[in-house]
Formats: sequence, C-alpha cells, structure tokens
Amino acid sequence: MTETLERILSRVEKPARYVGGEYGAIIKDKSTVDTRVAFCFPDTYEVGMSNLGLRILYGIKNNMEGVWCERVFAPWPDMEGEMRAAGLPLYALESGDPIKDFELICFTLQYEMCYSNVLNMLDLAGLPLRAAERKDIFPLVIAGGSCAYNGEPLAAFVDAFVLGEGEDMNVEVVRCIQQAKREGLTDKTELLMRLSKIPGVYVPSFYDVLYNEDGTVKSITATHGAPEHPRKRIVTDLDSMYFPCETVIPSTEVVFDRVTLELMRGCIRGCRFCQAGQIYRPVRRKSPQVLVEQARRALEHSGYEEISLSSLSTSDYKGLGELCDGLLEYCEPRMINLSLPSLRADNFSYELMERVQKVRKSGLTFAAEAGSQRLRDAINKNVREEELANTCRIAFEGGYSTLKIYFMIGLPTETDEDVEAIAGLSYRMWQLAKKRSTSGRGVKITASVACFVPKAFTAFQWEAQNTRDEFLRKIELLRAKMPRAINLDWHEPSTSFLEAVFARGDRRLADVLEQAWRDGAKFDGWNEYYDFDRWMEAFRKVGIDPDFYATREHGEDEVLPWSHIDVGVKFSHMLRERHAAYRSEISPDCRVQCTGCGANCLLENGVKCDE
Amino acid sequence: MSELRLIFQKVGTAKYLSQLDVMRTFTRAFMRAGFPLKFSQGFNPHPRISVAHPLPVGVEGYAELVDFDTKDDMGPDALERLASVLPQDIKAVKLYTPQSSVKEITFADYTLEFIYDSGVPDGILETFSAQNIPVMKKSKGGVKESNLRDAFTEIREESRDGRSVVLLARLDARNAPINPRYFADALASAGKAPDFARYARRRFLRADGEAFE
Ligand code: SF4
Repeated sequence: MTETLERILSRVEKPARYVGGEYGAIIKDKSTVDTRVAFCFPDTYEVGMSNLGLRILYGIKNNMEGVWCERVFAPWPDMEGEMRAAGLPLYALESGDPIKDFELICFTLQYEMCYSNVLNMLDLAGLPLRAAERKDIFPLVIAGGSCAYNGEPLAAFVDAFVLGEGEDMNVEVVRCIQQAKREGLTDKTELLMRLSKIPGVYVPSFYDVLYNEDGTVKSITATHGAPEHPRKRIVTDLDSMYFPCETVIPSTEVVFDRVTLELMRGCIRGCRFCQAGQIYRPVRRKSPQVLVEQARRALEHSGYEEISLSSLSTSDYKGLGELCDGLLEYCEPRMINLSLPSLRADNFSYELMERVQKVRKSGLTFAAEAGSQRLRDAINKNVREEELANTCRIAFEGGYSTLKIYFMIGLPTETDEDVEAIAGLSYRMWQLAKKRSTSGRGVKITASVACFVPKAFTAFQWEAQNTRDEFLRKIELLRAKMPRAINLDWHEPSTSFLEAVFARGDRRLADVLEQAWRDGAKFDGWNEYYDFDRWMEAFRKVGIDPDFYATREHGEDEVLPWSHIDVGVKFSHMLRERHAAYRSEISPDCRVQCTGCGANCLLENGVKCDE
Repeated sequence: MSELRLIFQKVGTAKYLSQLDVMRTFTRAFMRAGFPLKFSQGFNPHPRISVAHPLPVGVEGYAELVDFDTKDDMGPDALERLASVLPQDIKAVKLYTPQSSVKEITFADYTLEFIYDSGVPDGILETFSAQNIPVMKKSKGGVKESNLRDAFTEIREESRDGRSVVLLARLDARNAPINPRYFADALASAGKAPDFARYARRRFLRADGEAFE
C-alpha cells in the first residue's frame, strides 16, 4: 500500500473494500507472469464478491501458467472523488497496479443498470472510452455475462464480447492474448481476427449494421471473416467442470457471504418473460455426489457457516432429496446452515425446507408473477392458486409468520382485471394465513410488484413495454384495490423503462451512454445515484427517442439488433411461444415434452437435455 | 472444554477491518484451521469468541487479544495451522491458556506517527504537556468537549525524521478508551495539523505497568 492510498483511505467509507489482502486472494511473482488480467465487476466490492461467476473465472485464469488475474470493483463515489483528486488510476486489488498496464480487462455484465459504471471504470483506469480510440493492442477490453447476449449498447466501448459460459472459452481467449503478447504482436485488428475464430467470441466492430429510414435495423453483415451468427458457448459436462472450492474469502461483510453451490444450468420451465430461463438453456445438471463433495471441500476451505443452493428453479433439480441428505450430514454437526432459495410452491419443496431450515422461520417467498390464472397461463408461469394456498397453509401452520409474493404488472395481454386480481390473490392468502397461523406473532403478507421489462431472446422480445404513465395508473388501481392488511411494495417504473431501453438497445445508444456518463451517471442500480431526469436529458441531447426501444411494439419480421446472435433457442420457437401467450395457452416443461426450442443443438451429438 | 487466548497482529491492509470484520474473520479462520469451537446454546448458536478492546478502523494492533472456547483438544500445531489460514496481514503470534482476565487490562501503549509534508513543526510534544487539552469528542449522545490530558498517563517522543515524528503514549484503557486520532485533533487546534497520521496499539499493560498476557 502506498502512502497516497493510505491517505485516501483514511477519509473514505468502508476502506477495507479497497485493499485486498483477503484469505485466498492470489498473489503471484510478477517475474513468472507475462499476461495480466483485470477482472472488473462494475458494481461495489460487496455486490461483486457475492457473484459465483467471478470466483469461477478468477480461479480458472489464475490456474493458467504465466497469467495473473486480479479483481477490480467500482469504487464508491467518495473513493472515486479521492482517486481522481490524487491522480490515482483504477488499480487491481491484489497488486495495487494500475489496470491500464494490463494485457486484458474483462467486464462482467450482470444487469443493464451497470453500464454507466463500465464507462466510468474505463475512464478511471485512464483509458479512452471507445474501442476505436484505444489504438494500442493492449489492454484489450472484453465483456461477458448475461447482458453480453445483447451487448449492442456497449458495442462501441468493448473490443469483444464473450457469449455464454466462460469456463472453457476464457482459457482460449486468454491463451490467444498470451500468444500475441509472446509474439510481440502490435496489430489490434489481427488479434481481434484471431479472437473472432474462437467459438463464442463476438467482435462487434466486425459487423456492419445498416438502418432503415424508420430507425429499425436493416441488416447486420459480418466482415473480417467473422462468423455470421456468433454462437454462445456452453459447458456440456457440469460434473467435470471447474468449481472454486478454494476461493477468496472476504474479511469484510459482503451481500452473500457463503458458499454458493450451483446445481444446474438452464431451466425446464419456459416462463415467457424470463430471459435467464432461455439464455441458459439447454438444461444440464451436476450429480448430487459431485455437489456434496464440492460443498464439503468449499466449506472446509472457507470456514463459512452457510451454504446456499443456486439454480433458476431448485425444486426442479433431480436428486434434491439425496443432495440435501448428503449436505445435512456434513452441515448439521458443524452448525452450518443450508439455505434453499428459488423453491417452487409445492408440498415436496415445503417439506424439504422444513427439514433443512430448522432455525429461522420467517421469510417465505413465492413468485406468482400474475394475479389471475388466465395471465399466469399466458406467461406460462406454471403455478396454480391451489398450490400457493396449500403451501401457504402448511407454512403458517408450521410457524411461519411472513410471506412475500412477487408479481409483475405490464405483462403482455394484461387487463385491468388481471391487475386487480393481484389484490384478490394476496387477500385470500392473508385470510388463509391468519386462520392457520400458529406463530402467535400475527401474520404479515407483502405483495411485491415489479414492472415488466421485455427482454431480448424471450417470447416477449417484440412486446411494447407499458409507458410510465400506464404503469403508474396500474399501481394506483392496485393501491385502491389492495386491502390495508397487505403491504404493497412496487418498483419505480422509470428504472424499468431505462432497463427496457438498454435490454433491447442497439449500437446507437453508445452516444446516450457516453452523454449520461459525462453528465454524472454512475451506480444507476443504486437509488441514491440513479437520476431518471439526467438520462432523459441525455436522450434529448443526442437526439434519440427512448420510446423507440422500450414502448414500441417491434415487428415480427424486423431485424432485431441481436438477430445475428445465436443463443441456441430459435426465434421461431420464441415466436410460437408469443402466439401461444395470446391464446393464454401453456406449453409443457422440458420433462413433460420437449417443445423443440432448439437449445439441444448446443449439446454434443446424442446427448439429451437434462440427462 | 477449555478457554484459549490468541495474541495476534492486525497490520497493513488488515488495519481497515472493523471489530465485526475481525470477529467474522476469526470465526472462519478457526473453522478452517479445524479448531473444535464451542457454540452457544439456543436458537441461533454461535461460537464463543471475544475480541478484547476493539480497535478503531485504520489503527494497527501489534498485540491484540482474542479469547475463545473449544470443546476438545486442539491437536498438534494449532498455531501453525491457524497461521496458514489467516488473511495476509493478520498474524497469529501466540496461543495459550490464559491465566488472567482481560478485565485486568489497565493501559495500552500506542505509537502516534504524525507526518508533515513540509517538515515537522516545533513543539509537538509540548502540545500534550498542557493541563487542559480540549478536544471535541464524538459519541452516541453527540459532540462534547473533553480533556485529552485525562486519557493518557505518559507521552514521549520515540523517533523523528525530517517529515515525521513518532510519539509513544500510554493510554488509559479502562473506561471508554479514546480514539488516538484525537491527538491529531489536538495538534490541529494548536495550529499544527499533520498532513497524515498513523496509529498503532503496541501492547496492553496491567495496573502495575507490566505487560498483560
Ligand atoms: S430442446 Fe427441448 S428439452 Fe431441450 S431445452 Fe429446448 S425445449 Fe427443453
């Protein structure tokens, strides 16, 4: 630590997040390293260190000979101000070295609202924002994560995107860069051409995008020999895949401070609004034996007192009972808590929860998504009110006292009756809970309402988002209908609006991003910094209409800005699902019957989904 | 079951850890080292671990104490096992069965390093020889004036170079120990505000002035 840094740290909040030094952090001898990698998480240390993907890629890259991968997080604005005042560029936590001197800078994009932080971090590093202005071959800036599938709004700022699961692909990318470094290559285009040959790598500058007069995309044409349809990468065998049993253990508090065990990737359910459920297909799972062994090793190495199972729908994991038995056998005598998020509202799941969560009986949550059965069918959210009621009854009889139900408003085909049905359903759950409660503490039911954001690569990718006024009208309607006994939480529609713009954005949004950043945008995912008016001002200044992206219905024959990206699931499938939604018709899950989404083409020949 | 005491150092990057961070870190490090920790009874069992006299964030400690209970024998090489699973700048110094209670801690020696970018001004030590050294002390109840002179029994210069001076102060450790940064505040009131300061707790002492262990 330099004295400059020490002086700064004496004046900022939570300085521990800026110094590294945690147990498990990788320190390498620089004389053995020729490729320095900065893994940038465009949010705070506390959020970033809670991310499993970061730990996986950190471990994988540091296992490579000659490569040193270090962590970088977005400094909170007080720290940023101090760094700028002292002329201290963005540095990596392990070495304290400025990242502008590294060979590779990788960003992970987990949500659209982090884009302003990506720009801010590039600037803090002392690098030009635009890829075209970074003439030197190094550092190369690449971005991955779920937002990279439609990374177009960031296309002007990053040199390459990596699409899909990074375990194998990152090794190939880093090797390619290391090779270029060893050769003394200086031609950035040549390096990008080599990278574009790696399956999963998408170099946006190698695609010419033309627009129609009405502003929609006319064509997207590959150049430089890049693939016409860059296809996402997946790992086919999760059992043999790297898992970070030995990883960095933060000394200071982070959001999720525990071992996270990933049960499976993909989801057998085809909720039509859900992007994660589509982009992570096909469904693959780890075996319970491998999971139990990895859990044991990860707990031994970390000393953590909690382990959490992670997947999009834990109840759908085959072998959940066996897995929990194996985990409890290790955890119980050691006082280690097992937590099971993302359970479905069914009896089996509830009994399991009873068995593993003996201590705290408070926070029960359900995702109902819509108030009426008709709308739940339209979005293919396969849960019936009887199931909710049944779980609610058993849970409150079993001593639970609070229940939170998640809903969305603004879903395609929604009517005012559907909105009002949210109040009705919540009320019926409250009545039931009150009658059955044994906790003696009174019951508390919360209806948490989010505004629907149409996302790329879903059945609803063509849909118009409700306008802000329409959302506010629906919230008012709901407030008027909602009995006082129920807490109503709702999300500010303006955030969802911006999310919708970027989720389906194209390259022209680069100017908006840069303008908003120049006007001070950062930490847009944080209420204390998000400023809707600043963004609207930025749209006005650069002459772009945000409604074109968010509240306009996109034509089914339109070339979408992400049309050239292949995520496995086919547009024709998404379209079929969209039309089924209009008929309020459900589709079976992958176990009942394959609906031919196309994701199985990513698997090796002969391998079936969810085996 | 036995009670154990660890003497540890918390320096460098680890000086930024709060009291809660230190507790969390030791709980996990003890688990990693395979220490058979004893847990409290009740609905939310937690290991019995206590850190004596929390250090303020930003202050180094060279002989800090943590007491904890175990239910079995620790096994051989307990100190080495622990040392190998600690964060970079937390160092395990000594592990033993304590003979005295932390209540016997009466004083704590601190080094106070004041850095002046344009040279150390005269009269640093003299600032602390006045009978009344008013400082504005922040507490939960608000800000109130307090006499810094009551917080220490001895102060002397330990070393100096062109741009910094290091003082050694013996602070009363019993009731509401004072944050060492009030020494810099006192210098600021005397028109000698340092550009930067570093603080470290060197050792705990008993009432008779002997080192506490
Ligand atoms: S190919 Fe069939 S089984 Fe596989 S994810 Fe798609 S719908 Fe499900």
